[in-house]
Order: sequence, then C-alpha cells, then structure tokens
Amino acid sequence: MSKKMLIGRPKYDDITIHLHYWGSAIISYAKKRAVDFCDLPESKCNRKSDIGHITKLDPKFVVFHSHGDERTIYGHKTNSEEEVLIRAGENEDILKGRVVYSISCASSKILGRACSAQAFIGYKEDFIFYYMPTRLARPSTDRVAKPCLESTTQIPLAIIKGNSVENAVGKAKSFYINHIRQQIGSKELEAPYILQALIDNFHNLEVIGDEKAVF
Amino acid sequence: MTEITEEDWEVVKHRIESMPAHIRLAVGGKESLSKDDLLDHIEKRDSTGKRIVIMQMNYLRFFKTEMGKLANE
Repeated sequence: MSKKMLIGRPKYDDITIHLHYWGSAIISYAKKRAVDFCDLPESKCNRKSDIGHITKLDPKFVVFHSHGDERTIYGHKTNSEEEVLIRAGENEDILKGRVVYSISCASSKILGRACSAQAFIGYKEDFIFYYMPTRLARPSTDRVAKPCLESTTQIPLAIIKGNSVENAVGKAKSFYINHIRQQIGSKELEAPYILQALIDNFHNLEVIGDEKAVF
Repeated sequence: MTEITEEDWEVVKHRIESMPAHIRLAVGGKESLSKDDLLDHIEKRDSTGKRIVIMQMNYLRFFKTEMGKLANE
C-alpha cells in the first residue's frame, strides 16, 4: 500500500513565493520515493479542494506551506482575502490521527493542540526569515532566505524518507545549528539578521503529540 | 509575558537602524517588513513592534549565553 500525503502551497505574495518554491523540493523528493501525493498549488489551495482531498485521499502526512495564525491555516488569496483552510473550533477534526507539518505562523499554539493529530509539527511563534526582494523571481538564488527555509524543509524530507517525527525535527535542528555556525563566521552585512531568525525559529519549533510517529 | 524595558526598545531600534536596506523580514503568518516598516512599528510600539523587540532581545540573550559554547564545540 502506497504512502499518501497532501501539500498545500499557495502563492500570492513575497512570503508564499518562497514557501511555494521550497514546497517544490518536498514534492520532487516525494516523487523519488514513490509517495502518492496530492499537490494543491496556488489557487487550488482552497478550502473546498483541501478538505475534499483530505477526505477522499485520506493522507497520513499533511504539509501546509502557507500563512496562518494561532488558530488558523490559510490557503490561497481570493478576492483580496485569504481563504480559511482549517481553523480550531471549526474543522480541526480533519487532521485527527494524521502527521501534520505546518510552517504557518504560531499554528502549533492553539490549532496544533486542538486538532488531535497523531503528531503536529509547527512553530509556537511566528516562523520568520529575512529575504532579498530582488531575488523573488528566482527564490533559489536568495542566499539570505535559504538558511531558515532549508533548515525547516528538512522536516518533511526526513519524514518522507521514513524517519520518526522526533528524528525529523532533530535533523532540522542540526541544519539550524550548522547555519548558525556559518553565520557566526560570516562577514556578510546580513549575517546578524539571518542569525537572529535562525535562533528564533530554532527555539519555536515544537511537536505536539506522538514524537515516535512515522509516515 | 516578557517585560520590555525602555533600554530594550532603544537597543533594538539601533540594531534595526544598522540593518541593510536591501533585505526584508518575512513574518510568516502576517507580513513582509522593510527596514522602514520595522522602525515604524518600533516607533509606534504596537504589537508587531513588541514582537520585533522580543525576537531581537531573545537573540541577544541567546548570543550572550550560548554562542561561545557553540563556536567552541
């Protein structure tokens, strides 16, 4: 039986352009590992499609590369408003029993605790990163954004590979530490700011639920 | 709740003033902030300004206590 996963990755502003790009790396890796995945990019990342695919496909692993807050994970922006995908108190049960990785800001604080996921991996405060607006057309060349985004992306990659949630978070933290070391030794003007973001994310990354869970 | 002192506001303001203007801060769930935006939030002392100060002060405290250990590992 194939492993099933779903990834939501809207794209409509500077932040989601980066998250969408790094989501592509997750999809490429899932393809290599023959994972049965459902990709909901850009406008396909809406409530109807997202809930419909989770119900129909029943993915064990769900990834959200989108905006959010303490209670909510948002999808694509339509008519100048971000669509609510999942909100604590409304439809959080859809995540029950699944392994969830959400980069959406502070979503572990309330939603992560309310949804009864087998394991919910997220950030208890805002996930932050610095970036260069001049590189938005090619996010892969943004050396300022890379340290934070590459570190956190290790989580879904390791889970797809078969690591437990605990090991996946450990791998991400190793990447954070390696980048912290590199930035300490860097003479680039941006280094102190990148360092601040790395340290902030490192401390805010947390797991709610079963750390031994696997995909 | 972390208490922010007058000195904290000033320290962070000076740090942001030194920030290169060609980078922006992405606060994942909310917004993308330029150097001027950051200084504006700090000037207004609103909720975003407080979050920026807390982030920067956590960094400075962490740097003081942990960086020496990490660098020597």
